Amino acid sequence: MASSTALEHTTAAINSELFSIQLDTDRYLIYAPLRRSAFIGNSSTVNLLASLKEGKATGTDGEGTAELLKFLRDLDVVDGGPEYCPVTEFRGKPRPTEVTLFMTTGCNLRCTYCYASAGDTTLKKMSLETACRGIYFVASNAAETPERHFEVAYHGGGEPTANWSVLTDSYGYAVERAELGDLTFSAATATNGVLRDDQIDWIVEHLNGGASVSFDGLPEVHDRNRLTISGEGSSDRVIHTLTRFDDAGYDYGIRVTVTRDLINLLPQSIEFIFSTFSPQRVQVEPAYQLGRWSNAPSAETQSFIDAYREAQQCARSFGREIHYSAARVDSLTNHFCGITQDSFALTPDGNVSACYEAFSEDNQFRDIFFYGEPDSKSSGYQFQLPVLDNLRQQSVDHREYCQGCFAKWHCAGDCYHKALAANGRGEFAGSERCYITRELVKDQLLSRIADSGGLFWHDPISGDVPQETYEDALP
Amino acid sequence: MTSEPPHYQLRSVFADGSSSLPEIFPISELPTHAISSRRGFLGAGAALAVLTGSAGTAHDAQAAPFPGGSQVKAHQKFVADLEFSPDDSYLVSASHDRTAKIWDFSADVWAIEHDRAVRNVAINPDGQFIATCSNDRTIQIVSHSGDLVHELTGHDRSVNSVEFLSIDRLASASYDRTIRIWNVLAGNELQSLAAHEGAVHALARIPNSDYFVSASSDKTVGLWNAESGELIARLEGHEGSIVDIRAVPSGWGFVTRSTDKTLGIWNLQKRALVRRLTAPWDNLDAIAIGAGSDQLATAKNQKISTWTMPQGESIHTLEGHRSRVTCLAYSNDGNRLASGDSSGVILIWNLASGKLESALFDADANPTASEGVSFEIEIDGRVVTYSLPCGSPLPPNATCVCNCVPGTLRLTSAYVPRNRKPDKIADQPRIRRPRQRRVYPISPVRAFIHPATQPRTFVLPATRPIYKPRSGMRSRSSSSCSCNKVCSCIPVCQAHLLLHKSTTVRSMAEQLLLAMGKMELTYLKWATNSAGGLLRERLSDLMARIERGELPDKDRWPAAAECLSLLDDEHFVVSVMAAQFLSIYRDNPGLPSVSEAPRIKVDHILRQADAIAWFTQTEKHASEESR
Repeated sequence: MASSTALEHTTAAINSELFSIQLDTDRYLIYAPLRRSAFIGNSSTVNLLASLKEGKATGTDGEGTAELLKFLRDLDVVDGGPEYCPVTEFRGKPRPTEVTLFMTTGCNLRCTYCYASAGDTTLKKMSLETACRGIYFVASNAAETPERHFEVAYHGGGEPTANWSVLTDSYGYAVERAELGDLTFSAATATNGVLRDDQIDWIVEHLNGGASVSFDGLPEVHDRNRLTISGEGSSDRVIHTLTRFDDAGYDYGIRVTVTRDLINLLPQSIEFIFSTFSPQRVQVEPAYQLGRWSNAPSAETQSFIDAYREAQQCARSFGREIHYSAARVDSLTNHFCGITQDSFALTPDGNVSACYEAFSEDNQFRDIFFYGEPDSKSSGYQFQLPVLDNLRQQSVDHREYCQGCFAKWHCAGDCYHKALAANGRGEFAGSERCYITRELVKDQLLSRIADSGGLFWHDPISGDVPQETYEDALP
Repeated sequence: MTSEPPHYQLRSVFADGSSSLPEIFPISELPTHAISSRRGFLGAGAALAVLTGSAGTAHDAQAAPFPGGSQVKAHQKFVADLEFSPDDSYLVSASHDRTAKIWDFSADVWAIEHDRAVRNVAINPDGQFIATCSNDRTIQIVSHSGDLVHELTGHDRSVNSVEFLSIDRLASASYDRTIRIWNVLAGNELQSLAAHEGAVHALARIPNSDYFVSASSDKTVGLWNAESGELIARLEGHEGSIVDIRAVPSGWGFVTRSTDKTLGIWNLQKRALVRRLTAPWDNLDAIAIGAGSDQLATAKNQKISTWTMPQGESIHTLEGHRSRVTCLAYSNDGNRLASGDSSGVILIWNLASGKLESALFDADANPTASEGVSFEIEIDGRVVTYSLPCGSPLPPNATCVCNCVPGTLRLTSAYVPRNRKPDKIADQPRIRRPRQRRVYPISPVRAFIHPATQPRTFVLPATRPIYKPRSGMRSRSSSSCSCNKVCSCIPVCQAHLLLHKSTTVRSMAEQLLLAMGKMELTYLKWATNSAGGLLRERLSDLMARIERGELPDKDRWPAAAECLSLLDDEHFVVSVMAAQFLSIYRDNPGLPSVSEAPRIKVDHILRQADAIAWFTQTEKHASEESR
């Protein structure tokens, strides 16, 4: 009865975006990202798919081929109907409902690899007026949306809690705006974790959006690079904060930065983190060659990938996973971050930047990332739409270089600021991070195949299949 | 830096002609693949052990790649609090996985759901009411038998602690800096006390006195009249937030744990801090005081220590947790200590021997997988057999003895979805759910805890079905089995096919059940009990044959062509059985040839049913029987 299917599959169409990644001699990882399907085949399988893709004869002259076609149909690779389109694009005047406040350039630490050189630069602190203007702006925008929700994030360029009174008072203002406008809001912070007990309590009580804490794992690793002003290690203080967050059941994430000299200790650091703390998420990144670390050796190496893999295995032994910002198979998008989505971040002086790494007017790419300033004639902002439109065009669907990459809908073009730092202002032409991203995405795909029984991974997108969408910011 | 653009779009590749047919490969066949799930790791290793007859290999197979190995979990996340009932008949645990669980040592396990992390639990003096509090700002009052009695609201922030002041009066402490007193029978608030200038972290009723005490971020202890709610004194002494407070059961004082890294010993009569302990009692993560007031347990990182009181001499060092120990609780008879950690593990320690006694287990809290795993663990010289979902981390000292237990219950989210609407589980008479709060039974077989006064029990009770299908559950093919794609009760479905209209199917069912043999008699009894008439008789007869030691008869096995014709049968269990036979034929040269068998389809069906490991089991069983 099984052989009766042979002639039923003479027509087969592939309208899926398909990639093949060679794993070994005659073994290929075949990946349809927008079908969320992956499996391993041989060269004949690849060639069959290539023929089908070109509209050539299917060659269904054998039971094996018919069987394969059935398999490919089950995975929506063949005859799968319209494909999911993950592209969105912003247009018009920005109407953000989320504000990120760069509270200060000051910091109570002097981390060796600080991308912001915090503490070495001119001290700037955001005024309460500046913070409230930003909050008022996003709350007003939120009032015109069906969700009636706005978000406030306290971020760096320094340690946001170093401007504590403005942080807490601006939060109080956000509460007031929400109550007056019958809105909801959430607030979050990034922090180095060197906090007083009363600050910990306040964060637990008020910042319902959670906290992202920088912590490098083993105390001896953390203390090598994350130093106090007096040059002492800060691990003791951060461990205290994380423990108190845990005891309070508070949602927080840990950001681990890896320097080249300490790459080999990453697995042990991850084991220390998962055996000691309960973060919602752990993100691991090689140290950026920016700020104080601009002349340091790059950690974006094969050793990093090897250590990351070992660390991931360790994390899985705890039933957890670690993450790398650009390798995210679970995400299908054309936006790596907010810079292509009208991210609205305010510097201590109140100017509008789209990028967390361009937190100061001194940034060499100020002309690219700064797109607005306070409007002296109103409570709002004046925006430079050409600058913003240029940023909106940096999504991966506009990057020629990335079109042949199987990871493009996951890394979504990766960090534009780092790309500028690596490539200058010319056309994007890849970086070491691309290699890391591809290797780790490949790992994730193989891991999902293994977790799905070992033969294939297929996690189809449910619901309507969206096509390219545009979010008009203008009401 | 510039480089060539990546070219990964699928395109024709050069083939040398050595592989003329397109093929799909399991990841395990990758010569250099480095990615292996724990499930795959377990499966491959244990299967090898079975095939080679080497128990040692099975042990190696379950060994974790990192020191200490993985452990069975009672909760998905951080265990925040533990408390034994007054008669030690049950234990309650609170977790950041949004549940509290009542671990009844002789009956059911119940899960109490909150919307956010559960922070603390308390049991009233007669053991009839349990209070749980949460970051969702609510307190739930649940009866020991699983009834949700009241949900108490009023706090403006997370509720950090609850403590019964009497049988029907409860105190709660919150980040909102208040203490509230509640009547748990009426479900109303009696008093709201503006207690501290900072968050109130913990409460403790001091036995044999009129007082309870509160610990706060304002670095003070509040001493309160338990009857009137009057503030008697505000006690100072710590230099940091006070995050935990425990009464000494004899009533002479209490112990505090502070972020100043010291342990405070307070005398109630003097109303003063009489001693601040530093090393080795500094930087502690949890404390508990024994019911006899003669023992203190402390936890620092993964290590637990017990000490005599007041001498402070070390009794035991208990090591078994892989993650930071976050809470401790003595049993009221003083024989046991329960410890919970930041990963969701709860261990029970025998204080006489200072050894690990048991680990609480809930399948819902452990990594999901579709195969069963059975293992044995020696406890006080007795071997106890446990069954877990395959891929579950194993408890300390456990030795995996096989990789497959068809029928292993997976009452996880697949069976009791978290978002199930109340009407779907209306057949649970003891459940009341105001505003969709849920208290639901987990499974009697998933609580593995063994009070010394009771015989040790373990999985798969023969006298009752371990899973009763309920309306609303997914059913693929049988009225008695809730097979989903990771069905674990295929033996029952197979048993119910013994009188199928097709002789081939009947023969397949019979031969497979014979192959499973005595190992699956529990399921056959289950299947028999749920069958009627002729089928019941047929099953009883088959059980008798199995008990007499009858083995499968290869002459009665179906032809390969018959199996092929049944691969697409609409009855999933029939297609599984066909795939199982084809798989055996394919892998055993002496059996009927199935060169034309569609490998992908067979493997896929087997994976759906997890029948590969299952069949390894039957082979093992058959070989043991034949020996």
